[in-house]
Amino acid sequence: MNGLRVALRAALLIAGITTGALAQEVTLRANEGSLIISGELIDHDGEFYRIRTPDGPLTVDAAGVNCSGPGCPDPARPAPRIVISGARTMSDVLMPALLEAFARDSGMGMKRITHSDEDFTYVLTEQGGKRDIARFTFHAGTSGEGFADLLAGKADIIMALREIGAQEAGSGTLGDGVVTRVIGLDGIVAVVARENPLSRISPEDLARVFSGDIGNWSDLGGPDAPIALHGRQSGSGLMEAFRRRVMQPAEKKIANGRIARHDSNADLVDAVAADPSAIGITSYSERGNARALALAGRCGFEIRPTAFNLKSEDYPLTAPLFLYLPGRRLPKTAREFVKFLDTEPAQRVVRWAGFVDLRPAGIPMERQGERLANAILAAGGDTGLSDLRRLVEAMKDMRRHSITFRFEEGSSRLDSQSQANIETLSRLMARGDLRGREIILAGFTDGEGSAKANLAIAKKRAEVIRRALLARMPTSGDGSGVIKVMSFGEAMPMACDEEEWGRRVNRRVEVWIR
Amino acid sequence: MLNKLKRLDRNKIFTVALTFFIAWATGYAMQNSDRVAEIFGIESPVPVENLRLASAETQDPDEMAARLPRPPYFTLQAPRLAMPSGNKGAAHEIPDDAGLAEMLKPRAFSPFGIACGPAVRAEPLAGARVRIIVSAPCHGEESLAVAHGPLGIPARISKAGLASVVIPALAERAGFEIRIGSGDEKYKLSAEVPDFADFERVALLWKGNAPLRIHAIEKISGGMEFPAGASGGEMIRIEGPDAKKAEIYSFPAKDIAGSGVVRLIVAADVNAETCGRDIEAVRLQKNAEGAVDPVAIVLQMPGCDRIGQTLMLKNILKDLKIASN
Repeated sequence: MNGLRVALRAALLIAGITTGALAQEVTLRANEGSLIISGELIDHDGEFYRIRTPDGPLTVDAAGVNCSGPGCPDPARPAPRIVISGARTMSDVLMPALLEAFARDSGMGMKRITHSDEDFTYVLTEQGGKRDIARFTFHAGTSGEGFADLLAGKADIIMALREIGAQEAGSGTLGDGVVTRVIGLDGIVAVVARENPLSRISPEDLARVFSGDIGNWSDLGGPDAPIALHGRQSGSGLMEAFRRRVMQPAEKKIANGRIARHDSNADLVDAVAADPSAIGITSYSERGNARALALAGRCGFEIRPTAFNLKSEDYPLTAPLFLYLPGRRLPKTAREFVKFLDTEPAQRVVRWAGFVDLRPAGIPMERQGERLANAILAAGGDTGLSDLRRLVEAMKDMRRHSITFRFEEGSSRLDSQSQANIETLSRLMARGDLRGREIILAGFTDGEGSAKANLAIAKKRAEVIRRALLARMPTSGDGSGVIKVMSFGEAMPMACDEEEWGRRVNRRVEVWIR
Repeated sequence: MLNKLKRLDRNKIFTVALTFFIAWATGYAMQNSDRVAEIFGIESPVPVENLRLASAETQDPDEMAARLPRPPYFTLQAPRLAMPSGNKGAAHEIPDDAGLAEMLKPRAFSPFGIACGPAVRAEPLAGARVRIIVSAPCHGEESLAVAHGPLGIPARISKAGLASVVIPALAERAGFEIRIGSGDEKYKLSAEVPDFADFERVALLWKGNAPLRIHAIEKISGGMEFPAGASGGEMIRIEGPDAKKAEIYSFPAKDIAGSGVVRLIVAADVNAETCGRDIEAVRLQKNAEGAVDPVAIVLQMPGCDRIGQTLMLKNILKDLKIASN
């Protein structure tokens, strides 16, 4: 009865009845006496009610009062159900593992009720399993199906490998306040069987393969065998991202009649791995026993899909893992789960599940032998070995950071992605791993235009970034490291200038740390 | 003469005699464990350790006396020792202290003259396994229950009182609980498993007759498919007490040349008993933090119109990725 007395002391006697249709509105009546408290229920943990009244928040002993109103917790009512719909790529391993880690982290028990690989429910319980706290029900299929569920109000959280399209967003029915969160990074990867001698392919050839224009391995320097195409089912976010990033730039369409469709990445890669004449498009997180192809240009430079290359977007076919959250307020446990996704344990789960986490990474000079070799081979003409020597001299004790800035042709303007990178970088310099470190911003360009002009534009880009970073530094000058600018212009290209995608990879400012 | 001796003196003599006796019995057991092993054809002789007998070093005669077994429990056909003739009288007069009596087993020595013990030991074995060795000569032909986390392995103690059980370890520091016969006493011990990190291990545990299986399809390097066992992985099935079942798949991740994946599928037959029902199971697999934690699983079986089919679930167990691709 203590709580009730506290409430009595803390509050004026309120006999008011609040009007309005607050979903959480409750009226607490004392079991003994005539005390009535009305307001919005903030929380109920089984023992106490926390209620917001015109006079401020009150905590009331639940044992002493009777609750009436739409906001009253019903002990007989089952725990809140949160429906999660969307991409199989995210529901096969990642989201369940994140829920399990969240339950562990929060001291909750957990149970997986499985009807099938696409339909299952995670029940989070009190430790000991006595009371259900929340139920997360999965309906997994494709990103497209997830968006449809979002529109129909049939799901609470959507998993997607791409952003919602304008048409899908509907005519305003999507609602205000729909929020997207990126919880990790995936990559669009082409795979072949290990017996297939092919190890790399250009994006243009990849588009021609999947449009049917290239129908035989002999056209790619392989044996005389027809190419068997494999892809995910229609509506798959992964396939849609592939279409937009590879097919569209090459102005090709996927040969729908000739592609074998699979409902999961695992099924797809297993089929490809078993057939030396097959090629498929899969997620970086699920390559099974098939071989992932590097992206290559006509000039011979290749970029393999690795965690670092995806983080730095040196491998350009990246696919962020999106969660779409509705504008309406989710149950408390769901809100806490979403908050958990930003934490270090959650990012460990992202890595463990085979994806790329969001934490920036560093890579030492020794591990970049491949691109140094390429740069040496390409040196000559306008760019001499002297530029390369200068670069190696400057960088040899340093690590390249995964944060990389990229630019449109001829521009030194920071786009929204670059702005986000500036935010991350300045935060790391102020409070994180980069505090007090020496930083070099190294500017590079594509091969278009003169070497001299490219040196100048590279320098300008690096300086733009330096200014933006300094603008965010506290003026107190707490010794948060030195930022130097260097320009290498068209020296050390990473990809082939003959193709636009290669030129885009080359137009960059790298971040180096000592 | 004895009437003249004080009670304490009588106890003292008895105590000294008993000390000799115990020392002799211990020595006998230790020297003869090899012999016992020989007789019963057991390969690795089991030294009898940790004898839980009254310590011969205890000086306090009252305490010593209180810890003596009551005369009816001596069944040993031992060579005769000269005992003080007033022994029986002294034994009867030993105060019955219930609190201390529980320290002794009902029978201190087996019919073969070996101290009851029991003694238990855990030894790591190659393959991230542990061998539990039990010597319980006074519990010959009784049941043995070994628990390792949620795994329960039944065994039987031989006539000579020996048992040996091999268990796949579920942790680097593997803890075990052993129960002998129907006694209440549990023996706890643990073993360090040095090659634990070299193996990937998953387990499915359930109770009852539900036809559950793990399918492990190893797709390594050459893209050929091997059922478990052909490429290095091993599947074992344990049927424990109370209709408890376990399927455990182990894969030597470290020693495999090449890379690829092991697809792990949980298969459940739809039959008259399982159709339309929920089957409860427990999954054991390393989580993202590298710890093995049990996760409760409920399989919602298809309806009875699907009798004859098998529910194949690919996402209950996480596929094992071998090296990096």
